[in-house]
Amino acid sequence: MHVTEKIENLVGLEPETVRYAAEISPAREERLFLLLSIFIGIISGLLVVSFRMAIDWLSVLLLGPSPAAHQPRLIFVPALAGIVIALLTRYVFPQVRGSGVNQTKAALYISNGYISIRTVIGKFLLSSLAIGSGHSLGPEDPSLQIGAGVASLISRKMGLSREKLRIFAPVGAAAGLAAAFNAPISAILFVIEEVIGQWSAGVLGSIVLAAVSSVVIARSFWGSEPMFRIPVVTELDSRELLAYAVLGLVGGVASLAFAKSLGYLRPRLRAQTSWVLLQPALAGLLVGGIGYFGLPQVMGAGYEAMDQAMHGQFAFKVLILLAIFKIIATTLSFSSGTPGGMFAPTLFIGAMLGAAVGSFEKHYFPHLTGSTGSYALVGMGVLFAAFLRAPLTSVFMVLEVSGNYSVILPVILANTIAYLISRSLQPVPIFELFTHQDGLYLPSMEEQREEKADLHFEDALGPIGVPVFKGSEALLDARKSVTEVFEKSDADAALIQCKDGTWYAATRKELEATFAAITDNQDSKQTLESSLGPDRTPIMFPDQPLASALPHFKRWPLLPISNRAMRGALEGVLSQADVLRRYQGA
Amino acid sequence: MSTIETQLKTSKRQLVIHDGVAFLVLLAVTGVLFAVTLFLFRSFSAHRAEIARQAGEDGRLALAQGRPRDAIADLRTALSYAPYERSYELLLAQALGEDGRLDEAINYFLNLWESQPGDGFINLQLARLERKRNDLQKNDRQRNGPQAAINYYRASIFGSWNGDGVIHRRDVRLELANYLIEQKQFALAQTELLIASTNAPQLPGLHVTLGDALIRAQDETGAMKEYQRAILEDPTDAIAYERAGRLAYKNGDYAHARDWLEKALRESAGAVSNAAEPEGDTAALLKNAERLLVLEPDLAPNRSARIDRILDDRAIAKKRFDACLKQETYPDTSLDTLAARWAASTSNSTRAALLRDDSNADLVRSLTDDTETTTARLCGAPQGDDALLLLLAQHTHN
Repeated sequence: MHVTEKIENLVGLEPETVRYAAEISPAREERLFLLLSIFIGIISGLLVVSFRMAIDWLSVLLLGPSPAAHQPRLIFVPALAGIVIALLTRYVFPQVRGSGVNQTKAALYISNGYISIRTVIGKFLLSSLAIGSGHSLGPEDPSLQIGAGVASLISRKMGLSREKLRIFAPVGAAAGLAAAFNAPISAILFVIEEVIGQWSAGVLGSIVLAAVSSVVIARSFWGSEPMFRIPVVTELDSRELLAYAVLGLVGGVASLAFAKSLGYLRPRLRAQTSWVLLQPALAGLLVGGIGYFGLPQVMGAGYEAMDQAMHGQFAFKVLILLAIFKIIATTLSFSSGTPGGMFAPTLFIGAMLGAAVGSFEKHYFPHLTGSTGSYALVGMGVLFAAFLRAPLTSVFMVLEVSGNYSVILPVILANTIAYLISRSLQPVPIFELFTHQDGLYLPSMEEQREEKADLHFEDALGPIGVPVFKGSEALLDARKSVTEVFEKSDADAALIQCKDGTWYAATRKELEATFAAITDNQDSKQTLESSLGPDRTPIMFPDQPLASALPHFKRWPLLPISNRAMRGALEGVLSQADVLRRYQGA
Repeated sequence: MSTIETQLKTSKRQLVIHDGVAFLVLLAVTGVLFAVTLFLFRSFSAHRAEIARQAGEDGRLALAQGRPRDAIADLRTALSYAPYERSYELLLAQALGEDGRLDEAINYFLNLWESQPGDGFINLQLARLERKRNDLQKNDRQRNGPQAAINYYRASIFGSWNGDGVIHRRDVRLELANYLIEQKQFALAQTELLIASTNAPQLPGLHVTLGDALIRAQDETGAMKEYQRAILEDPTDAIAYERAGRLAYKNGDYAHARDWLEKALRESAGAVSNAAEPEGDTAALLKNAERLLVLEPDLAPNRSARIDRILDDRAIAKKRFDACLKQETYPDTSLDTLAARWAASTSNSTRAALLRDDSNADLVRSLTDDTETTTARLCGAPQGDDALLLLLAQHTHN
């Protein structure tokens, strides 16, 4: 395509011409990036506020203002909603199944961050209907996908490059999650930990901006209070750490049971294609049945029940029953393909188990001062770490939600124990398991975090086996000394040390060509380094990634590796052969 | 080349315009979205607030009507729509306590207490719940004992109160004093009542209440002072007269008893309800007091009259003794002893003998007292003057 045509195409910013915008205005995308992040945050925040409103409205309309056991509507409302959801999922919004986390990752890694507007609308409508009608699912993961969808839509409309489109999806995801959680740090960490898998300076600023913007919007509507009233966390008695360790153990086992039941039921229900339309209805019927026969708390996201557990309003047996039936209800709802998230149910189960351990401790060791609420709070983090396998997020989530640093020790202890148990007994994390069940192979963030770091220069570094010359030597003198050295050596390259501490790696041919060009009336003051031109071998250090050396071998025969403490001093040299040998394991 | 540069410049400008327009559109979309969300949110919030208000009212009503279980359900609904509404939280905690779910109620109040440890109402509720729990766990080794309740009562007294703090604090102090009396910690109860009395504003009925409490705290002197303060503050207070008269009667101060009981009956005569007769025996008590004033030898105006009274009392006691002797089917040594004393006393119990020697008068009085005491033990409760003489005998021995 001719340049003129390219320019003309830019006016309309057709998709195929977007990439040429970078040629015309290279800084454009960088300028837009941060500003768009704020807009993405604001719009995601507004949509998440509306999403929560929709859930609450539907809940009041469908289940009544105070759903209680033995109300018949608890059974038939989730079942009827399940039929509507199944039909709409099948014929109108086929991409809305699942929680939203994997779908966002898939968009990021498979379709360059593309999430269709239909998916966003479908996720909004069907998730709110599912949760509002009592299916045991949460609003956070769908919020994450809604945010990512908003980001995808805006960046597409702005005509950004594919690279930026891909980066914007996690930005939106962080915004959506932050607004849903009312906790920006946890949202940012989760997206880094679970969606993009690495800290990237380029995207971190945008993620922070978007998350903060969305939380500001959400708080301007809902206020700064979290979804549940946080109990006052008292000072920790060190003897209680044992109880928190038990909580970690219990949480690890519970998360394993939860993951195993989902891992078992979900693929089996998906394989039943003949009655796939009935599955959400049947799940709704069973979940409603649990509510009807005495445990309406397990229906929906369950924040009220979490609040009550945190304030010691359930007896020990009820807490255990709620945890068990929430696992069952969520497994049914999620496996049936009803759109909705896993975060809230995970927090619910954790809160119940935590409160149960706290109640047990209070009953048998009344002299220990820890409140049941503290245990419920830590329990939430425990399940988050063990089930969702986001240990860093889990710690910060509890700290951010509680606003109390004194809970840090029990959180770290319990989360670590639960995480280790879950990892050793269920090696494949739950989100990865779902992607495998769906026939996708997205990168495992947990594996990425734990992969051995790339090789570094120091791993392939060789001794300086080539001649070294002073760049400050006069050219005529240098010719003599270089010729002498090369006559005695079969080296095909040499290093020239320049006055300013830099190095020049020259091939034998290059030096010979330079000396051959010397004329009789050559300026006697001209030095070797000045005859080599302004280029210098890049300054590199032993701790840099080995892969970053490869592009330089096109220009330089070898790379001198400098000492970080002494300018000009070399640690060794690196040749292309050394690098390849190292990668081949020699 | 120059044409291309010009076109490049133009397209750069167009790109800037495109981005500018795009941002304006984005801004407009954001604005519209914000307005729509705000409108929906306001409507949504109003609806939630209405549900919360309705449920809260239902809960309040149910609690007032003694249906704590219904109140709990309603208040939980109210709180799910207005999660930080303190009045609902307090009512819910109260309902939990009234429904007997003490642990839940205590936990709930403790959570509220943790955010406001100086709140008088919360501390009072916690004190009451701890008290209830303590009563229920009397045989439980792990019970906290009364101290937890006492501590909460004290925190409530020194805590902050909405409205009239003085009244609330006084009521809590009285409640604490009653609890201390129940726990038989009389000295502590007396101290609390003393403080309540010192700080008490001039309120009708308060000193009577304090007096009653002091009697239960075994401080009759203090109680009498309270009744007298009540009479001083309100000379028409029939109840104060009645309480003071009754206490005076009990303590053998029959002259004051008669005066106060008389005033009690007089002041309560015009009242709608007979306030001075809570036990219905004020008039009888007055009659007794008047008769006791006649029977008591030590209250006689002179020595001669005193001897007359001793002799009259002796005659009453003798009749009682004779009747008892006839009634007694199982011989008792104490009756024989009494009979011997009666026989021996005949010679030195004449009026002249008593006038001659005070020790004779004392012997006769002692015989009268012992006769009434012994016959009451062996022949059943005495009636009429015998009962009054027995009362006098008991006072003399105490």
